[in-house]
Amino acid sequence: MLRRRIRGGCARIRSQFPRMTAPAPVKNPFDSLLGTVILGLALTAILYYLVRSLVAP
Amino acid sequence: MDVLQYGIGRWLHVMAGILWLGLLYYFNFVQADAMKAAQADGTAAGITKHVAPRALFYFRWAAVVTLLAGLMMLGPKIDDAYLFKDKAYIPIGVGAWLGTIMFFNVWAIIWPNQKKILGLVACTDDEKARARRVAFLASRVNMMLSMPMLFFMTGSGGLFRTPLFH
Repeated sequence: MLRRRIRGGCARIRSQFPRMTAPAPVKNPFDSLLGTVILGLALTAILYYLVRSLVAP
Repeated sequence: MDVLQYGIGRWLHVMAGILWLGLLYYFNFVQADAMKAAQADGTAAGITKHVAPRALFYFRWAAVVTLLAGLMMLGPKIDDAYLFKDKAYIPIGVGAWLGTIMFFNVWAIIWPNQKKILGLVACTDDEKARARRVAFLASRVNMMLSMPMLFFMTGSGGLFRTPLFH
């Protein structure tokens, strides 16, 4: 009886949060202009530190 | 010879590079969203018929001129840059590699797919939809690569110069 009530309560809570029942599809960052710019900045920073370590005297 | 290699070569490289990247940014910042809005109100044909083919013509040929002028400027130091043989040429070498990848992206991925989108090559609707997605993603990859590429192109003469030459 108690188990059934708990299950019912959990189901009711889940129904209020659709993302808990169905996982959101993974978004491609290239679909967003901002995502692309952030990736570009991150790549610039990574390559900068890499090149700096290579050219250091 | 120096005037041709470094004077005219640099001028051509920068001018064609501005045209190439300017059009790349136009495609990413303006046309991608404009196309969605134009498709919604049925006016996309104006862009695909009159704007996109002209923009793509200058886009892909500016890429050729930029690459050739860049290679001309590197001259005998081309292997130092591309193979990272000399420390002083590593920053420009990274910029050159990124620019070269972008160049192949334009000619090997974006342009063949754009030909399908614009109807210059016969294809089915499914192929056209796939070509649209591939060209879009390749354009976005070039947009991402352009940021470190420009950083290293400009930084090689400034940011990285101090520890190497003084």
